[in-house]
Amino acid sequence: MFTRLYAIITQHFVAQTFSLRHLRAQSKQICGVLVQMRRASCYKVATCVIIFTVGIGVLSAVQAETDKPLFTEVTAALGFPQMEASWPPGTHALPEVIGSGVALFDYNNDGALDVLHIRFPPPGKADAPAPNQLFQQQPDGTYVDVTDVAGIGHEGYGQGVAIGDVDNDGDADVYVTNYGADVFYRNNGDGTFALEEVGLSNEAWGTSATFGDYDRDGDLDLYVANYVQFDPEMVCRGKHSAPDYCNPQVFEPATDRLFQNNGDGSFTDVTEQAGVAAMSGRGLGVVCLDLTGDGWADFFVANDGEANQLWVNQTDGTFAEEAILHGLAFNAYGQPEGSMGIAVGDVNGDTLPDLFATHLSGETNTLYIASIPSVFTDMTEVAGFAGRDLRWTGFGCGFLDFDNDADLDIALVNGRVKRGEILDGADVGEFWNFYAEPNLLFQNSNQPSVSVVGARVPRPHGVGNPTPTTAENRRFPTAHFSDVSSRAPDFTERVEVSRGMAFGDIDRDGDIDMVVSSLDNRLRFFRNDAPPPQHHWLFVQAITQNRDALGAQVTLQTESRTLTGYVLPGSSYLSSSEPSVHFGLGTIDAVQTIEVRWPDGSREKFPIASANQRVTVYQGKGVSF
Amino acid sequence: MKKFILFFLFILIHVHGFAGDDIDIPQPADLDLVEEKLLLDAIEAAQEAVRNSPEDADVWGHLGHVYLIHGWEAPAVPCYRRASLLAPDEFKWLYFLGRLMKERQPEEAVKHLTRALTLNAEYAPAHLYLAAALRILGRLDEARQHLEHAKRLQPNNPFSELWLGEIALARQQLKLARTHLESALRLNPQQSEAHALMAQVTIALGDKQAAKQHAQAARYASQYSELSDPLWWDVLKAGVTASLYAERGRRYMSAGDYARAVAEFEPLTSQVQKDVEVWLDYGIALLHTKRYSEAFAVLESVQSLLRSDREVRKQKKSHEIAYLKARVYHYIAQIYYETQRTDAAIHTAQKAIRLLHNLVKKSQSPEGIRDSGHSTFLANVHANLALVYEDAGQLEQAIIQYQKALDLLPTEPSLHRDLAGVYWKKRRYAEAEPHYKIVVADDAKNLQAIYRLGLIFLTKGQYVEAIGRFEAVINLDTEYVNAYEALGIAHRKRGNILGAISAFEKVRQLEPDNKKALEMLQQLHEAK
Repeated sequence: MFTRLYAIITQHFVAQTFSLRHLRAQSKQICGVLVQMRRASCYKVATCVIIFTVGIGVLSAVQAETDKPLFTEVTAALGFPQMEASWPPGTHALPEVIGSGVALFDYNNDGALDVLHIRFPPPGKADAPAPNQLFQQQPDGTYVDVTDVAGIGHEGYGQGVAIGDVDNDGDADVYVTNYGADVFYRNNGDGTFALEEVGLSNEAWGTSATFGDYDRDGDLDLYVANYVQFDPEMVCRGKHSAPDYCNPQVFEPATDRLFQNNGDGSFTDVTEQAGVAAMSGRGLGVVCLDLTGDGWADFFVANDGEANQLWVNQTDGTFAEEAILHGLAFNAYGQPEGSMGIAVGDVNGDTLPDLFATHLSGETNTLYIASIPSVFTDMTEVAGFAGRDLRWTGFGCGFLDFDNDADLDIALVNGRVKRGEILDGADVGEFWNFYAEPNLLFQNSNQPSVSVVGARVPRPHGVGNPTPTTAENRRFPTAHFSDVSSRAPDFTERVEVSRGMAFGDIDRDGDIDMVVSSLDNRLRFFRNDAPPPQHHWLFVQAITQNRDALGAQVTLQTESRTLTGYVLPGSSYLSSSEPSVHFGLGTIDAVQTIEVRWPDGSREKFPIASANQRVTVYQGKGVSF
Repeated sequence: MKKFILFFLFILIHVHGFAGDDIDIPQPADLDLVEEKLLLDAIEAAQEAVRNSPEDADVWGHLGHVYLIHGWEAPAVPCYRRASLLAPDEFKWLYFLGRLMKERQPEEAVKHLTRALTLNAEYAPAHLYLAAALRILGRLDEARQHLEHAKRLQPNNPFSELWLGEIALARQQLKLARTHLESALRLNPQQSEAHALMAQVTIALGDKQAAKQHAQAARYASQYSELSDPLWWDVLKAGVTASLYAERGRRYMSAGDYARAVAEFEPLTSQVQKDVEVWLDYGIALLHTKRYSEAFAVLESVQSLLRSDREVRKQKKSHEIAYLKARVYHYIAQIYYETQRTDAAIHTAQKAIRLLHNLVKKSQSPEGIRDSGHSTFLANVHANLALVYEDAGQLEQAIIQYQKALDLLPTEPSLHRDLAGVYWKKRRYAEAEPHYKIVVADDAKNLQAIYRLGLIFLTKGQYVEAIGRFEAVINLDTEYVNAYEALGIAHRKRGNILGAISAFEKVRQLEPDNKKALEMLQQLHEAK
């Protein structure tokens, strides 16, 4: 009898089924057993069982909160079409495994995020039409395909997308990279786009692209990362001699392009004179931000299988490649990696931008922490996720504070470029199952890693860089991350071949949602359900020249914390995210000021009344300091 | 009793069930894509061996090797695991299991490698891989300890120093990082990883000039990037694809075992007809085994492929083709030299030089090709051509070639030694002197160089310097008769009769019939 009772009780622990319905059923069973016992000790046991049951109830409540998925897939609920046919098998042509991007932006200025999906033809049918698709968010939150009305359905071999208002007319224009000639769409401001030749000519294999005002003249310039000079006739084989996708090193790198905005809506190719042509690389990702602390925008390019590039702005219209000097070219071992996606954010609260780059399996996804202004150190292993992601091949990625607890977490999507073992759950067709991998989600523990010597560097009040120290054994905080993938099963348990990834508050509920593009031209949307209600938030939209101030640094001052973010839609992989800066505030409910360092180097403070709102700040309307 | 019978039947069924089970042999998921019969046969043979001897750790391990070396890591894991269970005291299965799991499951790798090291604590690569796994897990202190251990076991392995430097850098212990990285660069000056990290360290320490130099050096690929791991040979030997035969051949070549290299390359010649690198290596291996006519034929066919084969020319970049052609000319020139065809050797080496000269010029331009090996190779070709001229008695030409080699590799001591030797032959002692000084600075035990420096000083009347050099030679080799003779002459010229007598007495002691020494002694005693 006791054995049976024990078995019933232990079921709770073994199965961890803590639903109330199940608990009631179990209690009935326990009572039944007790009735049969007819012993004096029955009362003692009953007391124990009651205490146990109450304990279980408390645990259930806690567990229910912990068990709540952090993200929920809402693709169908948002009205996106479901894929019916499976993606055709690959033909081992390299463009097939590069994938394409997705953009979250408000093309019609109605305050809601719309979606531009960059698409490409199926394997073996490079000339088949695969128009890009624009989906407009409706007042009820669902999406409708408005591609034809908007006139933005280019039918090239789509790769990446950059969003920026190049003519400062208050609406977002679109640049699409292709395996083939890229295209530029000017936003007409009436819900339609016009395909225009504005001097943005790039015939090479364009991948990621980003807008930024590198010359501080008030208009957006464009950097396009180009990949390789692909030869379709090249056949490559794996170690066991079966055909597989080629290493990019088999092909010559393609030179990236830099286009300077002429101020009249047209562009000039300044690649040669800016010095960017001096060194070609196999570029897949690019961001435009001041990474050297001098107030001028630099370009960081993630290269595949070779040293990354950091084009440091010389402030005279030219750039010098200094990735090695700044610690961003290689990993901690001094070795180049297959870099794909890029995330930028301040993960350790020192107001300096840190970088994260996704890589091939067998290589870490690398976290570069700015140890002093402009010098980065690979702190991947100290940060704690190296042991979790070495198996996977990462692409789209981003720093996001998914739980609004005032520190930046990491989400990334995976999928191989070489055939590997078929993982449980892979169901993307016989051919692609060999390439499918699950995605990952890491949570920032908001605690500096213990393995860094000493305490945090004192940070001067306000926006700016910490006082650089040149002494031996310099000390700086890093961050530590925990793998919480199991708590976001919709996002992480599906085994697919994912590539692009964009971030934004799609449902306008104060947290960051995600959209992922896959190798089969599929989009998946993930609603963020992670933040507990007691966590506060703030969105800041920084406007200059009638447009989003790409490259601006936004810092929140609260009584207890300083939080830094960047207006940086052009990051991740081939994708573009919401340009507003999101801050999770944790339990902080009052923000003292918003400080903005604008792309032209000037600084302003703005007062802020409360949290849990979307705030727009305009250059020239704040208090300079 | 009833319960007992039921229990007995239960056990019986289970035992029978196990005995009747097929052995669960891991299979690569995409085996059906493999077309190469040799590989399919190798897999079948390895699997068959497992079926025949399922309790034999070695056959499981071999199956793991076959999978691993051909790119199937996932099915190799259970094979090594089974091998390590069957032979729990065998180091290598735990080692391979740990090494393989380093990136897949570093916690498991740490467990296996730690256990492996309890069986053999002296295998340096196991310490290095364990350190790598620990680093992945952020356990830097433990990683550092194993790196220190590996350093003690293999003091010449630059990876221990490199990774110790990296750990120090991660902790912002910049001066310590610099010390380790300097050591790594002493062990391998061409290790780009160490240069890359040094660039970071030096810029953080405020030395931007040094940082730029290291950054520049880091742009070139390392001369080698693999850990020295003798056990890996066991895995490599399980390879049956052409590329693995070639890899084995190259490894034998780099170990100087050309006969074995030839044996690895030979079966390939029918399979990889268009792989010019394999053919070139085969030719070089034949040359080193003195099979000159075969080497010549192979190298000629490589040249023909490079010249006119469309497929080969399409696969290679123009500068790669030029470099390969230059290498072929260089080795053909060596064959001519070895077979006493001096004019042909000179003519062919000059062809190689022309091609390499253009490549070096291109690599020095800002948008140049990234390969630091061209100038080193060009220096070698010049030096070899100098040797040909020297042997042919054309010493002026030899001097020119050595000088060109030194322009490219100004710090290479062997070039200074050889050039000084030619000057010596030409009796151009003043020109030989600076080169011998460099040789001695590099190798303080080079008797010939020290002795000749002494003679040069003697002819210049710098007797004190000369005496110092001769005494240095005698300190290194107490039976170096010529040094005693020269020392005696130097003392005599300096007026030190007793010192001269002492030196010539030593000559007579070593060579009792040395007439010159007897005459000198007689003269010295008369002059006393």
